[in-house]
Amino acid sequence: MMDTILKTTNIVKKYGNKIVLKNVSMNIRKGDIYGFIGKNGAGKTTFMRTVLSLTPIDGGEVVYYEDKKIEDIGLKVGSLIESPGLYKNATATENLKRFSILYGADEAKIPEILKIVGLSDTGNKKVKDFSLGMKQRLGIAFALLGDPELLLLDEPINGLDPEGIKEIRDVILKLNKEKNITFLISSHLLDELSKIVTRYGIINDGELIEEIDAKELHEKCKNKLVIECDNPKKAKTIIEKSVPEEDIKVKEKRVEITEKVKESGKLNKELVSAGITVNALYVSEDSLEDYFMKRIGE
Amino acid sequence: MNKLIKLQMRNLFHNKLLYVCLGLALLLYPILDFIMTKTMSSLLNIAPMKVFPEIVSFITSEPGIISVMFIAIFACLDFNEGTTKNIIARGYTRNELLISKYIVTLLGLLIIQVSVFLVFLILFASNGFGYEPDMLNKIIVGLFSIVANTLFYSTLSFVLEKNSSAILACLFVPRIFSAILSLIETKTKLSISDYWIEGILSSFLEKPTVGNMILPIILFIVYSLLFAFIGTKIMNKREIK
Repeated sequence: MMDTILKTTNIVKKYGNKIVLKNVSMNIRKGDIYGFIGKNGAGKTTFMRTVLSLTPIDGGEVVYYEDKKIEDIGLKVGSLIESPGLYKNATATENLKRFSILYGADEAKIPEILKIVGLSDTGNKKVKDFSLGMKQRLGIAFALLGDPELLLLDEPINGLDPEGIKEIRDVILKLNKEKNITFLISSHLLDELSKIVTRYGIINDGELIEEIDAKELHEKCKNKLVIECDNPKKAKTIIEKSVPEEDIKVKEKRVEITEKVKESGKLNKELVSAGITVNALYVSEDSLEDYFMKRIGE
Repeated sequence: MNKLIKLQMRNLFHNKLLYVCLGLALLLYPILDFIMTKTMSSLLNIAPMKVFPEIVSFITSEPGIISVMFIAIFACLDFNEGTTKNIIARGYTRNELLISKYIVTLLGLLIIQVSVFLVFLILFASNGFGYEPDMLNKIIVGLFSIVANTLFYSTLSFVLEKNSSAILACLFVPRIFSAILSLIETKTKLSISDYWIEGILSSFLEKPTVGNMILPIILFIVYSLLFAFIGTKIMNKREIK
């Protein structure tokens, strides 16, 4: 059984009369790379802010390591929420030195952290002269200070170029594998997220509608048998007789059958026997985006 | 808490703000005074004036414009830069943050005030000023008033968070407040301004004896605690951006 590193129970947050988090209960297990997905305004950032105590909550509970509060274990939690908070008139190194004091981090590790986030060569350049991407990387460097065990990253690849995105992805995977750091990552870039995430949480209108393991999601997405043929309407009639209980759709030159992946050989044989030319037969997976859109009902 | 104070100390000493304010304060007060005194005495062919009362009044008066600006900008530094969240998200409480801010802001202000005081002393040492019997009493009570003033201006700045609005508020709110007190006094015939920081200090300076020190010191401590309490109440309900 995996240890729970962060658990929230029925978190409620209101702004005036508007409820932005509705009884959100989330479980993040040690070693997870937890992808937190939802539309703009769904409550992702507010949720991350509440677990870090940046936003007071109106109900519910946040505990780390079964029974601890952020005040007890804050130094083990690194975060990058929205835009990074930086001393703009100081250099990257000076910024990290200041927060090393606070996080009890070893200053000698600063060059290594700067190297990890690709900011080794910034020298005396002040943060106010950094590009958006560089500031984002420095924000990640802050989060890495003090050898945290849990990293909360809110849209960490915002403003990064494709190379930067790949670098950050590699850093996350490396830290997760080598140092067993747990991640909670929110992102709009679902395809990017799907390359690293081990578990998902889907939030919609302030409600956590699903928590699902990446493997399970992968299985759920593998849900269509697609048959491309010369006569899809006739094919549909034959298939309906063979698997009457299934959802069968005709789209242009192909027929799509939900959840009959294992019967592809049998169906192929029947179609060929009926004189239909089968040009292609394959299993089609929904993308994370497709699945996400289905779950939030759009 | 110690780590927070260390961070704020580094913010204080690795930032131009302290040095700019110190330089301006030295230039505007003792150095300009010294030049003016020398020029006037040579022009009018009179002996250089004794400026000792002025030195004492500097440390016992309400903070000047530079000191107020220093408090406003330094108190707002982490809010302005967005670094407050880096502190709170690592488990430090809002109260710890606020107390460390108060302590280090006070330290910065004392560095400015005491430096100016010392430069006054050095520059005017040759003018032959004499020791005033109540000088120490004035300085002790003056230091307590500095603490109360620092907490007042810092709290005001915390409430507003942004440099520009904090500076404006620190410069104008006390003036508006004094005007309101005067208006109330005129209407009610009550001398309530005697119980505000400035009034307490003025009353004491009229008779700065040892016996008269206790009440102003107690009142300044009460004011300091009240401002700190208000600051923590506001901070604890606040979203950290």
